[in-house]
Amino acid sequence: MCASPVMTTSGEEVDYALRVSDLGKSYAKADGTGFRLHQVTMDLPMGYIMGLIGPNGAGKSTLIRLLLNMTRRDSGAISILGRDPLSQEEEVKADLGVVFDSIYFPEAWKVKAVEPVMAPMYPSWDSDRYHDYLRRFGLLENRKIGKLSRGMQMKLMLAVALSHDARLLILDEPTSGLDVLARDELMDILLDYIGDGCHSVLFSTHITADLERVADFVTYINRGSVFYTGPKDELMEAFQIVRGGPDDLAGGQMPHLMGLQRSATGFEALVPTERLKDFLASASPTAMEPSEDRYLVERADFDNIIRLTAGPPAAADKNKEVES
Amino acid sequence: MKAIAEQIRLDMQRFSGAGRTWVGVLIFLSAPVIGILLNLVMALTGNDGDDARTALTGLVAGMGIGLIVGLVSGLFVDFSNAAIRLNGLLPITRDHQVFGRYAAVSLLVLVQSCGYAIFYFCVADSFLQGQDHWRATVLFALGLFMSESLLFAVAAPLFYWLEMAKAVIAFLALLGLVPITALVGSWLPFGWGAVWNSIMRFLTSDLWRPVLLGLAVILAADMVSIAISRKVYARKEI
Repeated sequence: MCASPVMTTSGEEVDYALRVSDLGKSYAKADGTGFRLHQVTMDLPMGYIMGLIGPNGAGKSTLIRLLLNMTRRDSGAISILGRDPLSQEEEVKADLGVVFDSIYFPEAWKVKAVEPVMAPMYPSWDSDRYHDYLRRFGLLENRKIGKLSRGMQMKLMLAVALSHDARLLILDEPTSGLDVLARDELMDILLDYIGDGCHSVLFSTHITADLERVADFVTYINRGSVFYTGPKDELMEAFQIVRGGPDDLAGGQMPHLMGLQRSATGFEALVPTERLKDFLASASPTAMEPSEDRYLVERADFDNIIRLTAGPPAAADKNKEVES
Repeated sequence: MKAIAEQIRLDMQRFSGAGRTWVGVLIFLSAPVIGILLNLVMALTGNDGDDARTALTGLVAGMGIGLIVGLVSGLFVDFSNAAIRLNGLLPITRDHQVFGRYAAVSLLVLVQSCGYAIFYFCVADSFLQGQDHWRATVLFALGLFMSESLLFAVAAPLFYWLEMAKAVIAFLALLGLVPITALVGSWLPFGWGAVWNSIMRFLTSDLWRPVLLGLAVILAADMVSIAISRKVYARKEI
């Protein structure tokens, strides 16, 4: 299920911070296993925040590495801020701010060594802004980078990323080492950052509560393919979670499901909103209660969607088991 | 050029281990400076016989070789940890990163060789005993410049290609081939004495000839090495 953001607003063309089309990358191992990122297509309009979600190993970090030319793509095209990151790598990267899930500076360096290294790399480096962020984040310049906590290391990378007027921020799991207050602060910074409509953010995360607060768009990658890309609200409205007892799921309901998890006490099913009526109508006619009373139906959140669609292939077997 | 210059500075900072350009430079220039200081101490204490000066010259040359190995390790150590990702986000293309690294090392080795020339000029004052002072100094500095440049030219593609530990093993294995080849060569029925004599004649001919040949060898080795490193690094996942 894919949706593209609207191409035009009030008749004018939308500027895109990031456009990816049919991006592919395969890794093959000697033992026959491997990983494939398959025909990834997504668009991030300028001035918005896009969340990149998916289970571990889905391909989020691989996608980010492909965007940064840290690994070679097998196929497809990428446009960052309207430019080709292969032929115009230096110009593109001068406009990018990047935060990884772990520090990219040598750990033996002190915090004060970072600015002399980074400032000359970026023509628009703003030393005052950088030092403001250091103060705001409580980063002491004489501390060794390796001695900083993971959260503080992330803040150091963020301070660098925000100090050279990057037009696109790419953040790979930036909130994973942060407590709730620091995550809130980061989300506020990101909202401030895109406020002028000229800056955009792409960030991958496991903590989907952050996304629900700040993201305008979501790309959900599952097993190397894009499951959904488009406005966040559309995804959140697209699915309902249905819960019921262990005997409440009939074989006739299976075609209406997108995902299923069963336990001894019952089941949870992910049902597309437009098929909810059909799902309820297909309930077993032998049941005593009407289907509306038998099932608990509520809007699915990101965690539910990921949990119920990202299961291993064994989930399909479970489905067959129910059908039989 | 700007990107290459940025890479040169970044590599200086990386080599220093502290993000400060001058520290890396000072570390690398320390060998001839230490040699000059030791020579001064030896002269002041009267322990400056020919044997002592020859030993000091060998020590300083050995330090130079050791430092180039340290330089390679210092520059490529980030390839074995998360800090390599800095290469992926800075506005410097991979090609410029490779060119910049070779330029940084060549620059450092060149400056260091100038230091060796000063050292040798001071130390060799007495034991050259009437030989051409300038020629000996230039050939000594050129010899070290060539040795260090060739060592880097051999090592760099290995470090771009392999993990740190494997690259070190491969590099040492390649170095190990040199004495083995020499040993095998010495067993061959070949007029090595005549070869040696012609080398010595060449070195004692017009000074520009060995200098030009040395620089040409370094340039050729670096060109081949850069071509391999570019190809290998372009495919590397960082």
